[in-house]
Amino acid sequence: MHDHKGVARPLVEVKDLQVHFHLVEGVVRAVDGMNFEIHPGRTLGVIGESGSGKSVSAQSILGIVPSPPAKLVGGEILLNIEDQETGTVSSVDLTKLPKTGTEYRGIRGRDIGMIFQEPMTSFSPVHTIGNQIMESLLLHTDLDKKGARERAAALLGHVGIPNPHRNVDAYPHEFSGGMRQRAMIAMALACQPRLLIADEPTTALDVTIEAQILNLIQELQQELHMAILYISHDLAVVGGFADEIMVMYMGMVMEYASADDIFDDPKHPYTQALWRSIPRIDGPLEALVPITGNVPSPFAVQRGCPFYSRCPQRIAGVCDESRPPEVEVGPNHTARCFLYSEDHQAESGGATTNAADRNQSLAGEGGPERP
Amino acid sequence: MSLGDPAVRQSNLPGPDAPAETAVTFGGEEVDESIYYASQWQLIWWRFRRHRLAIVSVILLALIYILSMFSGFFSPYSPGQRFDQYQQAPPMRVRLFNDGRFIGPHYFGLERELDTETFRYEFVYDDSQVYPLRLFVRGEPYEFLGLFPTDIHFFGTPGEAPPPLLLFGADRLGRDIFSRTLNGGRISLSIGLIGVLLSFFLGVVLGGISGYFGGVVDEIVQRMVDFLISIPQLPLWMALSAALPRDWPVLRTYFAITIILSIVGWTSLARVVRGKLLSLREEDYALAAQAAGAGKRRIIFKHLLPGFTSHLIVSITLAVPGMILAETALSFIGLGIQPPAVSWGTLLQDAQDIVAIAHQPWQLIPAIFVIATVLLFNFIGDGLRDAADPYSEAS
Amino acid sequence: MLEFIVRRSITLIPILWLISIVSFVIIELPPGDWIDVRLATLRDSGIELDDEEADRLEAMYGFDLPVHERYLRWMRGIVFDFNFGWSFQWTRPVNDLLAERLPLTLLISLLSLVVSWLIAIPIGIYSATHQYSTPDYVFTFFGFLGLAIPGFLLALVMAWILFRFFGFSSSGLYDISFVGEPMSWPKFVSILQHLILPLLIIGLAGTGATIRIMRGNLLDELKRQYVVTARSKGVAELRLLFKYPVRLAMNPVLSTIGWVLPAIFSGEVLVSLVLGLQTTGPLLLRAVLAQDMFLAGSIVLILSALTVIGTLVSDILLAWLDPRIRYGGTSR
Repeated sequence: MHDHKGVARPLVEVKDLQVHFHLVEGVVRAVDGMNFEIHPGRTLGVIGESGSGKSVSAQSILGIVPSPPAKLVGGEILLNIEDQETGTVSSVDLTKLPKTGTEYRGIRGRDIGMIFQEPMTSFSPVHTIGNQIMESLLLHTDLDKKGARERAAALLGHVGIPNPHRNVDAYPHEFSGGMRQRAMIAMALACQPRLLIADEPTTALDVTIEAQILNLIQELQQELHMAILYISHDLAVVGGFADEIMVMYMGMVMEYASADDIFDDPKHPYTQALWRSIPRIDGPLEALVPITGNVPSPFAVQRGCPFYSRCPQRIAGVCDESRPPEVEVGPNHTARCFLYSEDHQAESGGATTNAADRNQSLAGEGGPERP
Repeated sequence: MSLGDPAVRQSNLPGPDAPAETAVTFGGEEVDESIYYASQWQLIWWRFRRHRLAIVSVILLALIYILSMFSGFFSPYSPGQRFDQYQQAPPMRVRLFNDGRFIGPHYFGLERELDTETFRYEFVYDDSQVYPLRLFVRGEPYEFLGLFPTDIHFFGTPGEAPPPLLLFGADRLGRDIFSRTLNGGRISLSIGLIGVLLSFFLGVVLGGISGYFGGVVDEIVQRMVDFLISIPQLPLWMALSAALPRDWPVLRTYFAITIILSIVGWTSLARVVRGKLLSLREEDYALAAQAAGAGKRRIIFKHLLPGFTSHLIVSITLAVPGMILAETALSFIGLGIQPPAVSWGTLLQDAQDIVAIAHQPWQLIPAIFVIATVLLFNFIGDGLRDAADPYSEAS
Repeated sequence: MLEFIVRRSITLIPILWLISIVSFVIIELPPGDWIDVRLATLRDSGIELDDEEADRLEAMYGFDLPVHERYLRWMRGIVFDFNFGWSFQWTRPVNDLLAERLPLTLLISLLSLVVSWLIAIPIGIYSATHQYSTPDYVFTFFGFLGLAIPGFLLALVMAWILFRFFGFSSSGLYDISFVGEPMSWPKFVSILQHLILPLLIIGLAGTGATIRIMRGNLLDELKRQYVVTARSKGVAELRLLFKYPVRLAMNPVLSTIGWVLPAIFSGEVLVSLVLGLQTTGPLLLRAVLAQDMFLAGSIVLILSALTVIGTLVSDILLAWLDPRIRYGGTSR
């Protein structure tokens, strides 16, 4: 599962992305210098508390962040599409495209599909499900109305909707939540996109339905060989689903690693604290440790590490002074923390040793269970 | 992005003259602690104060009301007083300078001449005699607020039988439109308030019953509201006021018209009350009161009503102009207040045809008062609505 | 759908019945027996009636009957013979008078509604998509003005301006020179010219409110998730706007017909009066002033019934446009 498929270039490369929200109360740095890559056929999971910028970063890829108030301040998002026949790769910087231009609209729905959190409100209540799936097909393929309708029915059948030929004409309110989310998946995948962005697609669903939807997405991924960006605040869901995981906090990627590494050997104090705060099924019964303190005001400008005020291993005079760098802590594993920074280790080894010890003890306990 | 963060909300509130007894630090910001003890009404007032348009409207509206209430004092003549030779005279100018010399406010009389071609009277200033204007002069006797007789007017011309100063011109009987407009406001402005109070009473009682008891009672009241709303108001009002005997005294007609207007007016208020009650009675504190053994009436009046008094005030403010317009319209077509009683509607009767307006456009001046009053009420209502709704901060 | 129409139509019956009662109360309301008024007018015109003749008249109009009998008599006439009674003022059947006046009333009212929407909906859409822009404030201000200026005053002022500066007399349905002429192209043009002002003025009464409703609804709809969904599919902005949020924001506008229609009928009365249009408005005023109560009651009855039917039509349209109402019927 963790072998790279030998693709030279990632499908999506996000470099130093910065998105700010200009509100009456002040500026919120929703995404504050994010770097990540999404590879074809693989799943990147994004974990973070609400307000950590997970959804904004995903919407930025599609260019659908509401603007105003949002403003793309810096960075680039490269979409590398490989031509199936010639093998040449065409690369576009999405941030440079006009948001409402034809080129960007041609990418939305065709190359990138998105599933949203609320299946109840994600469909227009006065248009049939079929109409809304067909819209994508009519926009991005050569199908005529009849063909698009056939295709929509086939898609509905494919995602497990009974009587697809009748239900093509159904209205959203006639579907249950699970059916709506299936229809949503059918809609997002209508044009066989290379990237599927799933923004907490199962949060609003029952647990049993959740499992079905996750299975469906995984099956379809194998079938279509698409990349998935999976956003969730549910560690268990992402853990069982993603190949790589990044942990977000206050608009920054705190730690990035393969799913195994991030659960077995978390490096960043925030990730560690997160793991301590969730229950495990198989391990010994022990008290959960909540993360102390509060998320800082989103309007406050952080000079140093945003986790500084809550971090048990903070180094005064260092972590609150400048932004921690992204440090390579292992193969394909980075953490944005001074504890692992070369410069810093040279200066004050004591603190690092201390941190490493704690790490050790945590790893010894086995970390949280991976579902 | 928590808007509920007190520190954020604080930054939006003007708190300069909120007593700053204790200041605490909150999230690095200095927060005036008295804000947490501010009552709902204080909060509304603070938010309302930020609406400059609404504040200006309150002041202007108060001015209009004061001028009308004390119209006997502020108007130089009585509404029925006729000036011979001044029929349909145009508005007259108040001057400050005579021959380039400042001599204080004064005016000239008007001379009437017959235009032999059009056979209409033309008015020209007769500048041979200067009539100075003075404050607090004696003139026509009247009763101050209907309580005690006096003859002191705010301004006027001293001397024996001076020519009248017609600020807004004169009507076809030679009566001063300025004095009549101020006087007419007494009926037009008060009918709005009294009508709305009556509607309010009906609306709160019926809407409250409907909203609280629900079931069959609710169904009946709601059908009644649906029904009354579906009848075109003006035809209904016309038909009803036609039944009023013409020889009734002014006061009785006045109240009858008020009642007729309220028959339809209560419905929209009842809807507001019912809707609010329906959502409020599901709130935990209503259930808690019920669990504590409070009676239904106590729950309605003690617990639920205060929850939306602010909304009611907004609805009431926005309902007043409708009443004023209705009275104006009814009187305009001769079915409301009957002359010689004066209201803005009866004043506009003189402006009923285009010919009259073409030759004496000043007959429309009372309309400016109607429009201004309605606009001011709307501005105030809008400001109040924003202030009363704590969730409207974002916009 | 058919079931919905039937279900909704049945709810009409009690309301129509209440309307008939109110209209009959209006007929009965004026003080004094109006047969006395009738006799007095007859005597005034020199026709001396003996008591026997008076009794005959009274029996003819059913005045010797108790109130409920009179009501039933009137209702029977309307329901079975489509006979609304007799106008004493005009000494003609009410039916004839209504047949002359009602078509123009209906035409003006419906066109006013259309004009009001044609103005309000595009402005509402613009205001919502350009929130807090200068035009948005300007439109809001004019919306306020529209609410504050009574239609009859506006009609007066506009008519005066047209007369004073353009020499155009907007009184009547067409220019005086066409009176008695058969319908011709110039006469038709004249009718159009004369209709524009009343349509604009009557329509304006509802315009301010409709702009507000459209703007508010659209602002709400624009924030909905389905807009983002559509955007993520690559739908062009303008197409998206009209296919989804505008379409949904229109529904509440449609449902305002229930109170916009009465307002239009009310406005029509005054504006027609001021502009000298031969509609039911001036007829009603004259009837009311002369206490010609069968005519007055019938006009109130018909206008109210038309409003109720208009509301029914808007409800059916709404159900047709919004599947949630069509199937569930719970969202109302």
